[in-house]
Order: sequence, then C-alpha cells, then structure tokens
Amino acid sequence: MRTRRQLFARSACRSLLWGVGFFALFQLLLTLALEFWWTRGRDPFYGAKVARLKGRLRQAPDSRVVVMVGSSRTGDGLRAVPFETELAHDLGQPLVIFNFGLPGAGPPTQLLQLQRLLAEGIKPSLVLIEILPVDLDDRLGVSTLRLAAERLSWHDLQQIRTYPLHAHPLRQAWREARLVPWYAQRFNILSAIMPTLLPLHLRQDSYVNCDSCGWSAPAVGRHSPEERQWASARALKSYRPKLDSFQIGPASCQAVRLILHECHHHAIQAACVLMPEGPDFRSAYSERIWQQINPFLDQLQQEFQAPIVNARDWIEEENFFDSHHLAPDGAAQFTERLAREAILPLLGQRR
Amino acid sequence: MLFCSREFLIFFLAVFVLYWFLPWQRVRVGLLLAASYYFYARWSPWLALLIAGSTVVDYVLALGMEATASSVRRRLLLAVSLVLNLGLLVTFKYANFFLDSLRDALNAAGLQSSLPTLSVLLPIGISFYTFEAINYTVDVYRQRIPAEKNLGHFMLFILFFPHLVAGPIVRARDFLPQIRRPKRWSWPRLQLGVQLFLLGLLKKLAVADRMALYADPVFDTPQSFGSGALWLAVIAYTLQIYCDFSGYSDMALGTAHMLGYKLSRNFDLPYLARNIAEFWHRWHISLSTWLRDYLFIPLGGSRGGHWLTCRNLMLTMTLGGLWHGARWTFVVWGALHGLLLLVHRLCRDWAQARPRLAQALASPVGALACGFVTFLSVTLLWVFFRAPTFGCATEILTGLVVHRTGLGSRFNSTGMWVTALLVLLCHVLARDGYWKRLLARLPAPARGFGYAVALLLALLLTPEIGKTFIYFQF
Repeated sequence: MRTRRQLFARSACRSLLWGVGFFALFQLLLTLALEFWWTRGRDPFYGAKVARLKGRLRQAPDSRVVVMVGSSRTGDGLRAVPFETELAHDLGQPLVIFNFGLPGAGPPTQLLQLQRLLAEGIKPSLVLIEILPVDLDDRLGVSTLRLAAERLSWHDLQQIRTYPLHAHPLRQAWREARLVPWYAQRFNILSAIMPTLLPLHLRQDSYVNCDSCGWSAPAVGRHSPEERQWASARALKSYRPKLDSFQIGPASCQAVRLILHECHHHAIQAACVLMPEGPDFRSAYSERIWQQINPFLDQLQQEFQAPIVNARDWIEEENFFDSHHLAPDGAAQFTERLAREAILPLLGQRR
Repeated sequence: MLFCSREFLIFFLAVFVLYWFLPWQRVRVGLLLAASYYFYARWSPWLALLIAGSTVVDYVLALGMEATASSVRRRLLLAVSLVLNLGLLVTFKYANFFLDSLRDALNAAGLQSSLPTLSVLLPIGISFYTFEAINYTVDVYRQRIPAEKNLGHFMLFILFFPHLVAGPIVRARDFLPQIRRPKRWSWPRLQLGVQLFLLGLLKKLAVADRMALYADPVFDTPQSFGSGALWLAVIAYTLQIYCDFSGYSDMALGTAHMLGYKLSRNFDLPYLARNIAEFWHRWHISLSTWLRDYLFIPLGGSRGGHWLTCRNLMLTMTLGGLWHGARWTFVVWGALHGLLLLVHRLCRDWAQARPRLAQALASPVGALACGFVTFLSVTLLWVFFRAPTFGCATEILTGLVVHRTGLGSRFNSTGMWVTALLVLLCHVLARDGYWKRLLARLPAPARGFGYAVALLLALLLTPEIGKTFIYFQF
C-alpha cells in the first residue's frame, strides 16, 4: 500500500511527464499543420497571395494566368485590377494578372515562388521576372535566400539544394525552427489569431487584404514632396554603396537563368522586366554597371527568347514613394503600359 | 547567460543531469561550484576572479573572527570585511557617480575642477554578492552563526548561480546548512521547481518584455507624447518591473529547487498591499529585510523615539534607493519611499486614535481604497526609478497630472489593458490560494497540459528582441 508521500511523488512525476508529452505533441501538430495544411501560417505573404489566386482560378478555371515575381518594387508596382477586364476583353479570353512581388525577394526567392506555384498546379501562361540590378551582384543577390528558414516547407528545402546559394545555414535554421515551431512562427501565428498584440513592423497580415490581383494598397496613399525627398535620400543612401561597388556575379546570373530555365522546361512564356526608377535613382547608376548588365540581358534574350522590358524611365519622379517604389498612381500607369507593350503582345493580342 | 536563453537551457540541462547522476554530495557541491563559476565567467573571466578573490578574503576574515576571543580584534576583522565589500561596491559602482556629482557641484559654485572619470566595468551582481558577504561576516561577528570551515561551501553560498546575478539576497544561516545536507531525488520538488520556472518565464517573456514596448519609447522621448500615452507607459512600466524582477526571482527559486536548494521568496503580491509599509514587506523581500536587519536596526531602529525613527527610516530608504543604481533619480526614489513610510506612520497613528475611521479603513471598501492609493503612489514613484534624468521624470509627471496632447502610443493599447487585467486577476486568485488548491486537485494529465500550455504561451508571446533583466544592472 502506497503512502501519501509516495502517491504525491508519483503524481508529480506523472504530471511532469505528461507536460513533456503534451509539449512535444503541440510542437509536432503545429509542424505537421505548417507542412501540409496551414500554408498561410508558415509563409503568410505567399500564403495570402496564393489563396487569393486560387480563389480567382476556382471562379474562372479557363483563365490565362500572368504572374509577375519580384521584390517589393513589383509588390507596389503591378496594379492590374483597373485594367484586367479590358485586357481580357482584348485578349478574347478570361485573364488573371497576379502580383507575386514579395519584400526582399531576389532571384532565388522568385524561383522558389514559381516552383511553389507549379507544385500547386498553377501553370501561368506568362511569367514576368523582375530584374533588380543590385541583385545581380553575388555579394548581395544570392548569398542567402532572403526568406526566413521557417517559411520553407520540406519540399522547398529539397528544391533549394539545386540553387546557387549557401544553403547550409538555411537548412540548419530550418531544422531548429521545426523543432520549436511555436517560437519560430510566433509572429505568423499571432498575426493570424491576434494581430493587435504585435507592433506594426512585425505583423505578417498585410497581404490578407490584397486586391484580387495581389496588389496591396499602401498604408499612406500620398506623400508630400518633402516626405518623398526624405524617403528618396534614405533609399539612395542605402543603395549607393552597393551600386558604387557593383560587380556582376555568376551565381546571381545563374539564379536568373534557373528561373527562365524553369519556365522553358514547363513551356511557359517568360519576360524580364527592369522596374521603373525615378530620375534620382537612375542617376546613381554608372555606365560601368550597364556595361556589365546589358551583355547578360542580351544573353538571356538569346538563350531563352525572353524579351527584356526596360521600364526604368517610364514613370515620373512624383509617382514614386522613394524614387524606386511606385505610388498607387504610378503603379496604375506602369501596369497599363506594361499590359500594352508587353503582356498583350506576348499573349498574342494587340489593343 | 539569461535564464530565458537557449544557452542557459543547455547549460542547466547539462548541470542538472550530471548533478543528479553523481551520488556523492561533495562532488555535487564541486560541480555546482564549477558550474556557477563558469556561469559568471561567461560575462567576464576577470570579474569572476574578483568575486572569487573577495569571497576567499571574507572566508579568511570570518575564520579569524571566530578564532579570536578579543572583541577588539573581532571588530577590526569585521571592519576590514565591511571596508572591503563596501569598498568594492563604491569603487566599481559609485566612484564615477560621486566624481561626476562633485564635478557638477564645483562647476555650479563657479570653481574649476579636473576630476578624472574612471573607466571601470561594473561587475554583474556586485550589489547582491557584497550584501550576502556582509550579512555573513556580521552574523559571524554577532555569533549568530559559526564561521564556515569549508571554503568550497562558502564559495558556493556566494557564487551559487541561481541567485548570483540578481538575487534573492540569501542569508548564510539559511543557505549554508542546506549545502551540508545530502540531497535526495524528489519528484514533488522537481515539479515545484518546474512550476516556479515556468511562472517566471511567462512573467518575463509574455508580460515584462511586452510591456517594455509601451514604456521604452515614452521614457526615451517623453516630450513628444500626450497624457494618454504617458499614463499607458507608466502603468506598463509598473507591470514590467514587477514581472521582470519577480519573474527572475521565480526562475531563480525554481532552478534552485530543481537542484535541491530552497531560496527564500522575494515577492508576495506587492501590488495588493494596502499601505506602503505592507508594500515593502512584499516587494524585494530579501533586500528590505537585509536593510532592516543590517542598517535600520543597527542605526537604532524605532527604539530611539519619533525623530530618531524618522531619521533611521529616511537614511535606510535613501541608501536603499542608492543601492539600486548610481543616479540621483534612484536616491530620490528611495527618499520619496522613505517619506511615504513616514506619512504612513503618521496616518496610521492618527487613524488608530479614531476607531470609526480605523473600522472604515479596515472594511472591504476601505481596504480597496487604501490599496488603490498605495498602488497609485508606487506607480508614480516608479517614474523616478525608470527615468534617466530628473528632467525626464518631471516631464512625465507633469504630463500625467496636467492634460496635454501629443503622440499616442505606437502600439495598440488593448493588448496592454488585457495583460494588466489578467495580471490583476492572477494576483487576486493567488492571494486567495486559488492556484495552489487548483494545482493540488487537478489530475496529473491536466497539470501536465497546463505546464505545456504555459511554456507554449511564453514562447508564443516572446517579443522580437529579448531584454536583459532590469535588476542585472544593479
């Protein structure tokens, strides 16, 4: 017969073991959910956009799909809602133009987004690939995926093995994140269930309210000339050192080639786009930079029959936030011209 | 190494497993000593030598006191210990403060000064371990405890890593006997340790570090913010400092329990205090009792009449404020608490002479009102504790009292109010012993579920950048 003390000790032991068991179970359940079901919890930006795109395709499954992959320049710049219906009419077919611009996305991240879409059964008719000149420098473009490890699925991790980047730290970070996902994904989880607990810069729910073409209206619609000037100066201060020491790198170029190769392999038409930049920003580029980049772009064009759309001087300075991110009006202007000069011709119809 | 860091988790797991794996008490003590030394040396190997050196000197001095029958010699050895420990404290912590203050005073008087600024690194935990050393040598001098013969035991008393950096300030008479006692594995003790550790972790990560998001921007530039944001920041800081410090203490107690040692409780729901005297019986108990036993009572305590009591109280609280940091705002904070204690004594005596008033104050509504006034007083005084300068403190207090417009808080205040209400609810339930009864009644799986949820919540609510514990700076 056990004494009261022994019973108490046994109860304490069991409660601790139950605690460890429940903790491990919760971690495992979340890991499985993130891996197989809750994409938005794992990668909120991608998850919100792909959910929106899938919704569009469920409503119009015969639509031709145009996807643009790129950085925040694309995220702010491709605003297709005002023009999509008209373009579809001109094309004579349902059309979905979707903005897959994600903050900080360089060529490796763009490739990953494309491969994810293909893995989900979404095969675009046309892929527009943003070329951000500084991302062609190996020191800046491809040293990391520029995507947090916890946002990758197991499948993603296998894909990035073929990428020209230093994947070992990423794999290690992924393993650690999968071990304690409640900690690694805490901002994603809180953004989904209680975003008010998070400061604005940590919230991951900004793309939940993106429009039907994946574009999100900025928090502040218009900036005063002084605010634009201040923002431009800050952006140039950040970019100038990178541009001054620019050296085109083989790994970065390889990453862009891989995107085009992926399109070519799946018989998807592709085009490369140099996004608009304001006169202030354009002035930071030296001739030396274009002497390195232009031959590379020519090679892409030849190798993959991928047109290069140079939109750098399409938009006036006052239609940017900071001389390289388009304001809403600038985004509308850019998208309309891109549709007229690139999307429709490439899809086989002129306005 | 912070208690809530991955590094500490790995360190503690290794120590814990090794500790209970070894069956010999002596070896366990050696392991704890080595682990504690390593824990401290991670901050600075040189300062670890300093603490080891001063500990050895105190050990020798205490043995000397016990070995001699001459009261003069004993007093001399005690004086040497006090000078050494207080000298270390003054040199490393207050030297530049006094030099700067003297320089400012001379400049204000129109005199030139060429006083140097010493470049010293503040040894982490110095305020705590010097006080522990002092309590040991004083107790040996008073012959309340025998001098510890075993150097390893004495070093462990000072260096024991759970309490080394930010307390609680451990009494030698409570801790040294525990070192000699053989430790046996105990599941209930381990469970209690885990409960305390989880509670501390939750307080630190889910509450304290989050409240800092509301408080820090306002205390950095108070002139930019309106009254609403100022009130929010001050209340947030009130929660932050309590949860940060009591959270650390809980983790320290929990860690010690898991190794078979019991440290004294350092907080007892201080924000439920009905008056300022009660607050100081519940807040940083190890410091307030130390100040009472080794400063207030030796000064004469409350035995020398009204004015001497006032003097002793003011001196004790002012020096207690100075203990927290080398800044005049801390001194003023301590002095104001001393003043509040004096006011409390006067009001208490006045109320006790009026039975109906005393009855009203003792009623539930009266107690609630007293509690609210106490909480408000403590909250307002925290402004001096947190503000880096008097200008900042004045700016904030003025903004609290006189309405002004300005920036609002950068973050949604709903989260802060929800947190504050939850903390209040937990306090009330704890006061009535609800948690203890609940834990005792719950079956093991339910308790385990609760532990897992508590840990998940702590992980989920960890802010972007972890903050060090506030009391590490003292």
